[in-house]
Amino acid sequence: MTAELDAAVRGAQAGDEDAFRFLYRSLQPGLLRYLTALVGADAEDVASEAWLQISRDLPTFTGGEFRAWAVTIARNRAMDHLRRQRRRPSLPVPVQALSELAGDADTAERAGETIGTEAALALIATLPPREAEAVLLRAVIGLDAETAGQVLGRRPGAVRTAAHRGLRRLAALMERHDAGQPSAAPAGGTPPRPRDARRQQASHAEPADG
Amino acid sequence: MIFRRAGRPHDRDAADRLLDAAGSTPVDPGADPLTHLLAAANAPARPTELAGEQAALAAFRAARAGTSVPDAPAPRGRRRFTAGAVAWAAGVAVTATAGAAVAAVALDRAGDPEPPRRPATTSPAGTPAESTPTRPTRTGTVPPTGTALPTGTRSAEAPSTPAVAPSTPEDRRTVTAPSHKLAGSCKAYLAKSPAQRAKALEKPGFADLAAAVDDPARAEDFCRQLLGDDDRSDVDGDADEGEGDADEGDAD
Repeated sequence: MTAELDAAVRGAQAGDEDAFRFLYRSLQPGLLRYLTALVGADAEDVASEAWLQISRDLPTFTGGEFRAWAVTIARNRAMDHLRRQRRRPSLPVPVQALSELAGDADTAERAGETIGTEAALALIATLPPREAEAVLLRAVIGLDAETAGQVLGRRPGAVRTAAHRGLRRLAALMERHDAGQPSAAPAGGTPPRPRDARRQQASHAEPADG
Repeated sequence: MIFRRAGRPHDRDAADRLLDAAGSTPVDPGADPLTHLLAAANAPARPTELAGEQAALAAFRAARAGTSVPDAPAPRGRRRFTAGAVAWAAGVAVTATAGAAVAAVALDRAGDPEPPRRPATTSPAGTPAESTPTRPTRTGTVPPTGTALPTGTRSAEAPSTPAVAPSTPEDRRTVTAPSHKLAGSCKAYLAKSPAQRAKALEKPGFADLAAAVDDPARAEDFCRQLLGDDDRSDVDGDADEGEGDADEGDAD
């Protein structure tokens, strides 16, 4: 995948439109999902801004991990966007997302299918931003911890810790929801911070990740 | 019970394995919920997620047509090739709007090369040979991109476009900065869906367009007029102005 991307980057830099299309198709879905966790419904706008800049700056890309470079551009665009909007990078929890997730999971259990992408992303977006970003960069964009750390301006160890905490929190969220505790999805749009759940499972918490 | 406790990664290594595996293999139906969740988050692209492809490609074409142009005053292919090569070798500290002047300056300063300092300059980062604009970028698709920008010069909004009328394929990329910028904004603006347009005008990238039209409702007409309304099919979104510079995505 990386070698293919590298070849496509070189092609696009030489003006090959098909190569650029390949880059777009390879990266855009993950980019959009990542941005959705950062800026919610404005993700498409931010993504198209990012592609404008990627197109423009492609000649200046001098190598390395293209996805990290592109995601950094997208992330910066998202942060600009949030600054303009003067709001914090968190997403209100769509209460129905958890129900949808449970419904999907229920279906999955019966039919052996997977849960819906939207529901999965909505759930990840309920994590504290650091954890959500770490999980998405690792799992959805496909970066390793070191490269994700470059994007986030953090050490690889911190990214690993944040991703680990995020996954534990997700598992706890799903368990809690499964156990029928509505507190997993509080009304009012505040991301759930399942402190009690954290106490149960993360007593041997790693060093601070920041 | 739908979700099993077994799904919790007990340490960072376990978490790494889960994350690394996301999307790489088909998920075993019996896998834990967290694996399912990550696989769902990493599911194959849905068509709606690629809806912006044409706009991105248009931006790519516009960038190809625009950024490698040093805005040379006279359409002389060889000169521009030389200027481009020298500028590249000299490491260019060119700004997009001063390309013409800098191309000349770069010639004068050929013996005094500077290291490249600003990743966002318009210098072609490829090989010197690649900076030559003597060949239309792509077969078939180039004329629309190349000629689209100068069409803006027909309008009263672009008064200063002497000697840029494309006479040869080599010259198609030559546009003056002001008309280019407004035309670029217009193209990007028209490339957006009607629903997005109102919002777009509030963004810094479209500040010049918003200022030019006063009334947002007039923006579309204005742009169609500016672009001659004959290149709708070639809406390339080269709205590269006013986006600040805090976003250089250099993640080496």
